[in-house]
Amino acid sequence: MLEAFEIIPNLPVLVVTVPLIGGVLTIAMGRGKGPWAWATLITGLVFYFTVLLMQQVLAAKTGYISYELGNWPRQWGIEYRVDALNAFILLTVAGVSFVTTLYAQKSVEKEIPQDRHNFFYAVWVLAVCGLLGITVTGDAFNVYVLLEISSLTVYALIAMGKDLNRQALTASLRYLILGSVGASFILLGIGYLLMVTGTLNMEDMHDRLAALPDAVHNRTVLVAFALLLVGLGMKMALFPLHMWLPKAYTYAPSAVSALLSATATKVGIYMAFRFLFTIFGVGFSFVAMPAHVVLSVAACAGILVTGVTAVRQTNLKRMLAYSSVGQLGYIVAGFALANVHGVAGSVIHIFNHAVMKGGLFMAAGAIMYRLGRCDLRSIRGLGKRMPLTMAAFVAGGLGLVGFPLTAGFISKWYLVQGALEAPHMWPVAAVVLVGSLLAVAYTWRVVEAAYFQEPEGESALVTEAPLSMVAPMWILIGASVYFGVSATFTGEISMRAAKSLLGGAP
Amino acid sequence: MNAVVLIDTLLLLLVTVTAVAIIEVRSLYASAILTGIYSLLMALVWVNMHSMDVSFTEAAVGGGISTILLIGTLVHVGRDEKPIKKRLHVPALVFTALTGAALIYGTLDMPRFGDPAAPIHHYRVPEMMAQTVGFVNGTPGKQKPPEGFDVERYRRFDGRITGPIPDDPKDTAWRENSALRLEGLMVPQVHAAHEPHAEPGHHLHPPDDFNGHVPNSVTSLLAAYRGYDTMFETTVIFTAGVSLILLLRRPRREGYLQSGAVMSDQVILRVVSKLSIPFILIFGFYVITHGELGPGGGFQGGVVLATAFILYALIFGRAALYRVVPPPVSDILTGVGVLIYSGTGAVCMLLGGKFLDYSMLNRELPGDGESLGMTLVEYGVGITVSMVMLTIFNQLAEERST
Repeated sequence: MLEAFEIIPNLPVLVVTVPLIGGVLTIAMGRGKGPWAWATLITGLVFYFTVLLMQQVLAAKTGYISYELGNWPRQWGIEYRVDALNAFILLTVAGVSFVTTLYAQKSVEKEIPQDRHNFFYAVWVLAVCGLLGITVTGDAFNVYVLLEISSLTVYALIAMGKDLNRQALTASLRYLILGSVGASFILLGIGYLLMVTGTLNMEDMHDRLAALPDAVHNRTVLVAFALLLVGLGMKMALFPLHMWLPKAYTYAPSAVSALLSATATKVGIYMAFRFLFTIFGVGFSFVAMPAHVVLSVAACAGILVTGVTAVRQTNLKRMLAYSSVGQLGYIVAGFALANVHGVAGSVIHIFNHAVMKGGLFMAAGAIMYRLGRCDLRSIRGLGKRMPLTMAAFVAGGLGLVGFPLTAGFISKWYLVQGALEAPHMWPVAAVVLVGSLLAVAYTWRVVEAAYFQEPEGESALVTEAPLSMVAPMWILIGASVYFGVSATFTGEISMRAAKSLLGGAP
Repeated sequence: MNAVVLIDTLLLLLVTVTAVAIIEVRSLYASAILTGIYSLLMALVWVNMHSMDVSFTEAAVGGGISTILLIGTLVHVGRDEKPIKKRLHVPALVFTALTGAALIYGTLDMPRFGDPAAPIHHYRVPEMMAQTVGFVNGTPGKQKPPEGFDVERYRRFDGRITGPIPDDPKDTAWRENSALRLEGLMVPQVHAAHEPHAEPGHHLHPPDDFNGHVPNSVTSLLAAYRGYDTMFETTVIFTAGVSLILLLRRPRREGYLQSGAVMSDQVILRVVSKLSIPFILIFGFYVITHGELGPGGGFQGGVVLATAFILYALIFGRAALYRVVPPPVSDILTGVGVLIYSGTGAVCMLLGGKFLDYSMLNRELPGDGESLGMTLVEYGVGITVSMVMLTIFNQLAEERST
């Protein structure tokens, strides 16, 4: 039976179906460490597949890999299409998910009741499945179906923080309501586009829209564009539609915060790439429509406002959450420039921010693990008690600032370059610099508390977090430093993705 | 004014009135019932649009089970809304009005309702439909029709093809003469489904994909062309069930059930429910199995099956239901449904085809393979949907007894 089966041609579908089947089977893994070990195995396997997929995409002559599900012609059925952009995002999401799953064991053991670890990890793996499924597909409606899975699982995962703090439930409910509104907008937008084009395949949709006699004045297309912009803005927590994010990340279980901050909103941004660049096209989105104005104003306002808010926070997780909204602002501001360096900076920052913020939330989670809380007061003097964790936090914080030799520096280099190349967009460069100063401010508050103040109470007695938490944390932080020193791989991939998004050679 | 428009206007008017009533009424119980009425009215609207499958789903899910589940939720939160001082939230009203206006504005350039020239009708669908219903649309000589299959009769029935069909699969000129083309409904650009793919060893769908097994084009769309979406829709249902267990289920040591109202002392209820439950179950299986022939399929059939169990629990108590379907069994079955679906897809892949390429299941008669695959996945959907509905009901009822 198996002689006809090959892994390589089936990689695009394996990336999604392995976590699907694996996620369902997690329930059967009993109690104890079984579910965690299984989830690690599955996410590790998926990570391996995404590495292979990346190699395949880089080797492909056309620049992309296409997989027709059920062997139906792509305009009838569903097509998976992987190019440099989504191969890179897949690699990021799968990689961070794998490391976060490694990290999750101790943290989940402490924060989630023992008797439902199997269900917890099942939902966890399905969340990864949903996020990867959105990223791999070339079909507009398939995006929505997988969006349902990733959203539903994420709501449940956030609500699981309820045993630590009941606020997790309201945070999850708020996200559920806002997220559902956003998802409905996306669905309506896709539906309107279907009415006009008669197809759901992204590339086909683009061709049909381009062939439309007067797409710029077609009222159905215009409303679809507006609906998608608002819906996607909600999903990627674009200021001022970010209201769900701070509470959700603050009260979610530590491991969940790390997973979400690194993956969920990034996939939202990837969807924006696909809808704005691949389906509508640069000409429609950024020339005929003022998407660049709307997006860059919202992003810049977000960077400044949430930067100031982050400085005023005392809870570490909440501070990181606000910082996330700001960092997402950089990503949005980058692609709103619609030039090669801007989009490349945006793509590279998706990766860089994923590893940095994942590592930072892991550090906050390690403090939670030892102290049961993570506010500025309780981390006083922790630099001596938990040196590895705090060092990771500082290294990650420097990345957020954009300090040279960290990954954040590379992203900002591209962004500033892009902003200066675009006409009349220099204020974006200025905002990037001011945002960095705000990041210095909130990172410094942590440094000051951890290294320059004396511990008090129980903080004086804690020891370093267990190795199974510190090691994954340093894998991500180490990656953020490594890709800050040697950005050849990430830089080349991002440039390639940017060029293909902007319509040049893949 | 024709009858369809008249009925539609009347129905939509009622829908609007019901929607306003749902918002206005203070009793949550009344608004739960009204949502059921809303769904039934919408089901009638769908019937008027000739979309029987959607109508069936709306009636079963919207009118049936979600109303039950909403009422189940009321047991927790009480029958009445908390009295709050009503005040107008002006920004909210403005935003809602703007969104509504935008949605309507967007309809202005939509193709007219039922317009045969709409892109959705003429762009890809004719080819898909031609393949779904047509043996004759394929390329003869590559595959023998099953015994007793009257190609000529089928061809006449189809009525879309005129003239002989060439042997060469690449020769698509015959489509130019098809009735669809002559009526201007088919775009000249035809994507050849059966053209050999560029990759070597790429498996081809047989010329006659469903052997006439799937005259219901909704099923071929949902279970075959877009079967991959349906797999994930099933997973959405599964995820909902698992999330609910994750969040609401009490620790196992407290046991599954303490109390719960039992109505089995009511003779009429007992007798009527006992009489109707077998028929509901048979109907559920019928709907799942015959989804490919008529309206229905896994989702609707699964919901129908679930109502049989829920009715049993309502009358005889949940203790009795747990003897029939213990929670560990329903937990396992929710996953089994998804595994049947994804497993079918995986088997197709392991046999050397693409994921969910059902024709791999029967090399001799690929059309039968397609039919088999679709029936399998419909059962997968049915199992997951019915068990998740049951789980939701159980979790809601369980919370009540704490």
